[in-house]
Amino acid sequence: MRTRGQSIVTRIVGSLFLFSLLITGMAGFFATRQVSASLSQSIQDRLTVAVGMKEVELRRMVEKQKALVEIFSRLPDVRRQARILVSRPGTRERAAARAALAGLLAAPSLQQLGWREVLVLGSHAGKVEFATEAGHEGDFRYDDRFFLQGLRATSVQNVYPWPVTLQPTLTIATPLADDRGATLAVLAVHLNLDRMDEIVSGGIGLGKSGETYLIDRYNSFVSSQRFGRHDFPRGAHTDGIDAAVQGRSGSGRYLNYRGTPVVGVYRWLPDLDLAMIAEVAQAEALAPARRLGMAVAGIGLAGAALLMVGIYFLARRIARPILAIKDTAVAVADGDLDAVAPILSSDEVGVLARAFNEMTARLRNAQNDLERQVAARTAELRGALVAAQQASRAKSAFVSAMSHELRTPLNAILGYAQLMGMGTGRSDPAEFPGFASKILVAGEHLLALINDVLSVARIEENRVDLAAAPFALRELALGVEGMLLVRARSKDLALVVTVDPALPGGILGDEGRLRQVLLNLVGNAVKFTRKGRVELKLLATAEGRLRVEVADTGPGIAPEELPRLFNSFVQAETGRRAKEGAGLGLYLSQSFVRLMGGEIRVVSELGKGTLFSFELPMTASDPPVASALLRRSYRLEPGQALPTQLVVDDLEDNREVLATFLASLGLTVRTARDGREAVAIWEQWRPGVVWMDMHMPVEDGFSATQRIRSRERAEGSARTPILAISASVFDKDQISILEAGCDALVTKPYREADIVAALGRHAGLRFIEAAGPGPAAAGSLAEAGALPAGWRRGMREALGKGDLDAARAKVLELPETAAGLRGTLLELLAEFRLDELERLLPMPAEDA
Amino acid sequence: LVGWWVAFPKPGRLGLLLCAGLLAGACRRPPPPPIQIGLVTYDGSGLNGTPTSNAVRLAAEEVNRGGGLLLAGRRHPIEFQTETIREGSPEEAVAAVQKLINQGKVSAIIGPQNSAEAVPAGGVADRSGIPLISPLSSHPLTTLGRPFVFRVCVKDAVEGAVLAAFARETLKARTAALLVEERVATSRTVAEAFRREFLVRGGRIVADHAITEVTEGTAELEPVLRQIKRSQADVLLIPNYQTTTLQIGRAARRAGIRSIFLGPDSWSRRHLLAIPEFDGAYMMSNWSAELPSAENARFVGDYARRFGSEPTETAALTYDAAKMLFAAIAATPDGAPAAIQKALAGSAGFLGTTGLIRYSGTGDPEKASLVLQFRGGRAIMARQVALAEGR
Repeated sequence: MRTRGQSIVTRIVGSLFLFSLLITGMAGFFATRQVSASLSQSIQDRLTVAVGMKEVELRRMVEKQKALVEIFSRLPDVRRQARILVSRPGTRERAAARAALAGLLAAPSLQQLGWREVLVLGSHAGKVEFATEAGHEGDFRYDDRFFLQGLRATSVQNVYPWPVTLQPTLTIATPLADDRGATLAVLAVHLNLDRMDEIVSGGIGLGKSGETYLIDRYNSFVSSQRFGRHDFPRGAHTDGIDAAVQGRSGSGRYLNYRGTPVVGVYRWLPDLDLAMIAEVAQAEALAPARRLGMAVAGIGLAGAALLMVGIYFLARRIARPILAIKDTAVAVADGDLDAVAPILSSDEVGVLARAFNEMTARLRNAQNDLERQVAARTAELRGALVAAQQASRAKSAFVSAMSHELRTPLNAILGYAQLMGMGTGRSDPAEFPGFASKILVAGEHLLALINDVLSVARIEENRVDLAAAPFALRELALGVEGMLLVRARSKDLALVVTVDPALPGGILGDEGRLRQVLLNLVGNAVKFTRKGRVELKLLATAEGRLRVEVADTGPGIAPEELPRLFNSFVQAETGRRAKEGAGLGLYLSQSFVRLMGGEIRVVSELGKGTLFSFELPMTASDPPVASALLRRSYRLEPGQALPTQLVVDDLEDNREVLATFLASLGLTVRTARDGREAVAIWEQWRPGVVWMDMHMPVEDGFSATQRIRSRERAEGSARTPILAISASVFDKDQISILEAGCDALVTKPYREADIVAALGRHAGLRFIEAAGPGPAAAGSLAEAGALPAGWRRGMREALGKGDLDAARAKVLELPETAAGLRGTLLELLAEFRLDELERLLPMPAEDA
Repeated sequence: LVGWWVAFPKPGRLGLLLCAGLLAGACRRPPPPPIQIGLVTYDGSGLNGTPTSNAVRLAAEEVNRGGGLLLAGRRHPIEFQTETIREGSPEEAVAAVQKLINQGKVSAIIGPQNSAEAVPAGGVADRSGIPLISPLSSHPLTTLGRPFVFRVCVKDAVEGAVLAAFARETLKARTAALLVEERVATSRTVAEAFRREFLVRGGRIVADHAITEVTEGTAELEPVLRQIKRSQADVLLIPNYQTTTLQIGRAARRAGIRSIFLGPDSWSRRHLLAIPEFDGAYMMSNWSAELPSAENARFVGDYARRFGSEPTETAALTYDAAKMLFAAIAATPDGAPAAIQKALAGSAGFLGTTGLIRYSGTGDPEKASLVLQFRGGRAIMARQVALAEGR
């Protein structure tokens, strides 16, 4: 990882270094080129000037030499000796003349003139009569141009290769005339071109390598001393020399005759037939440019190195925060979410670091949230587990409580029934005053219990439908009061029922369910409160809702129990201790209230009391015409055909109950023990209605019904109404019962009203529904007549004053054993049926 | 190779072919460069210009017709760079040779013919290491100490010696007179050789005169001729060029000189043989159309056909010079000047129109020469002197 970081730095530094090197190189190159060009140009200019000056100098020198030769030729002594030489003298005279001429030429002043050779040629045949080079004497040079020109006047033969020496030669020739002016001979002087070349080459002031030299028209060096002829067998050839020899003048950069790169200027001098070349070695001439280039390159290199160092540190500075972020990222990747990238700068990298840290923080928060959620879910699950375990425990508790609850009323029923059975074979209610009412109460309690359980089942299966029928709130409240008043009194509790006058007389709703709720709440309050009072208040809220409050001064409920209070199969500690109730009451109450659109709330303080309250929406309605509170009594309308009744049941009790009721209606009743007996009786007796218990030994109701139906079909006789009696409340059983051929089903336990309704519907019997006490109440009313005279007096007094509270209190004074009577009286009181009460409670005889 | 070709990716093959084609095109050898030979000839004002040019042209055409010279397996055509000068202008000759060597970059040079030009020109060529053949220059200095300079004619000394021997042995002359044109080098050297050989062979020089310039009626000539007449010499050697010779000959006969005229090769037979004063005169020569050889016969015929005129001695010698040079070049690996020089000097002998030419250590050939006699307007071969190498 570190190497990766290093490589960023290295790459930056390396690239920039190369880049700067490139720039430096280019700068150096172009600087050198530019300066070279301008230097070269300036040197060419200077060389051109120098060559121009040399040309002038050369020309001046030739002119001067020409004048000198002329002066020399006019020397009398020269002319005299020449005349002697051309006059075919004798050997001695010739030698003398030659010596004289040589003597003249040997003068130091003449030696310095740069004359290579001096010739005297006879004008007649160009015979060389005198030559400073001994070998040339006696030759005839009549063809040489200088001779022919020299015969006429002083002339200069420009540089040419003299056929005798083959060397480049410049010859000045002048006629030597006699005294009469006739040309005797020609004086020819070959100039020393080496000297000339030296003169030319000197002092151009262009450094050590600078040189100027002369070239003849055939590319030969004019100076044979400085340049060996044999080095250049075909002459000297360079760009400059060749151009100049072709008559062009100019300058440029090229290789000189030694192959050295030079800056050169070349010039053709037509009047001298010479090329003059001036050259300076490029190495020397352009040295400043090279030095400049080197300097630029050097400075550039140094600058690049410095830059590199600077960039190195800069790059490291830039890279360090990045590396720090990288390290942090690695730490985060390894799981350390608390790692924080240092923010070392406020630039883009700083922004990057900050963004990275924010990212890490969010990651951390997300993880924390996740952990919290997991913890919460775990807790919930644990709670759910606990709840499930509690529910399981509660159900076990319920089963045991239920067993107890069921056993209690059953014991009562069985006990009273035994007592009654110990008498005669027939049951005569008059023989066992109060027993039937006790059994009724126990049976109803049992029924209520079972209904509760069924309600729970329905609620849990979501099968509860609320009725929406008009009912009177006030009657409801009084009914509840009436039902619990005795109990409250017995415990010396005050039960106070208050109905808000603002409430409408009637509302739409499920009266039964609401009553169940009130009975439960108030019943609980009565049950658990030892002293003080229990209050039931029905109030109208400002929002037009019904508010129900049930307050007591009981022991209160522990706060930790409050949350579980409304769970099914859960009893509060007090409830458990009381070993009463199945723990369904509050659960059902709450469930019904919720269905009605409310919620029961509890406020409780241990030792001080409890307040249950809930609010329900309400829809005002006309109050119901009739009160359902009174036990109906049924009578057959007179003048009807009365069908005979066959009651089939394997249980004697059940048989007796139904048969007794039917008989009390004035119907003829026979009974059968099982299906076989029933069919046998049906065959013989042909009853108008058969009441068939479905579950029986020997032959059950299904089979019996099917046999009767098949017999009917076989005979083509009328269909006998068979009314099934079953404890089954399940639809599938009902269906199979109807399929077996039964006309209707009356579920056990049934009420008188159910039987009456079934008879009406299936046997076409018409009944008169009497609001007065039915046969069941007859016993109670009979009891009422037997009530103590003092009680009866007090009661009448209260009724006479219209003091209903006092009357109610009087009723509640009755002993527990007269529960049936009490209930009837309270119902009558609640309905303000004072006349009925007075009829039931005749004045004591002594008063009459 | 096929496998390699097949393995080569297809799109690349076209490019490969293209490259190969370009390479082949680039490698196709350009036509071989011509061999550059310099020629120094004369303008039409003199006698030698036209024959020189014609002979060289004839020889070059013969070779180039066959594609040129075979050099290292390739035929190079011959190309002549011609510099034309005036006869009697050594300065121009020197300049011409200098120019041919330094600026024309020639491998060898033919000409100039006359010694006056050939001597300095040969110096330039030798100094530069360029072979130069002067077909006609007989002056000793032309080749003296110059390994790169060759001649085809025999040199002056040989001419003088041949003439002396001919005079003594064939003509049985006992006495001889000489009339030298002092300013002409050939004149001097031929006279010198004759003088020595004639004395050696037992003859006597009865008159020996030199004149500086011959103009008819000059005071200088008359006394000389009078003295020669008095000497009664059997033969008179007039080793000068034709113009001077003609004047001298006519003046001599006018002066009553009866001596047989003898002359070197510098005589122009064409100008002299019809001159009555010269009838019966003898001259030394390097060539005659009558020379009985196949080469000569072919040359004479070719030349006449090509140029519509009889070849001259100059043409014959120049033709031989050119053909000999071509042979030498063809014998070199690269046509370099030094190699040509070696080939010329080391040749076993070249059979030309003028006979067998061979060099042994110098640029002077060992070859036969002739003595012609003008008789009845014709030049008759009087004698053939085999391998008359001068001492």
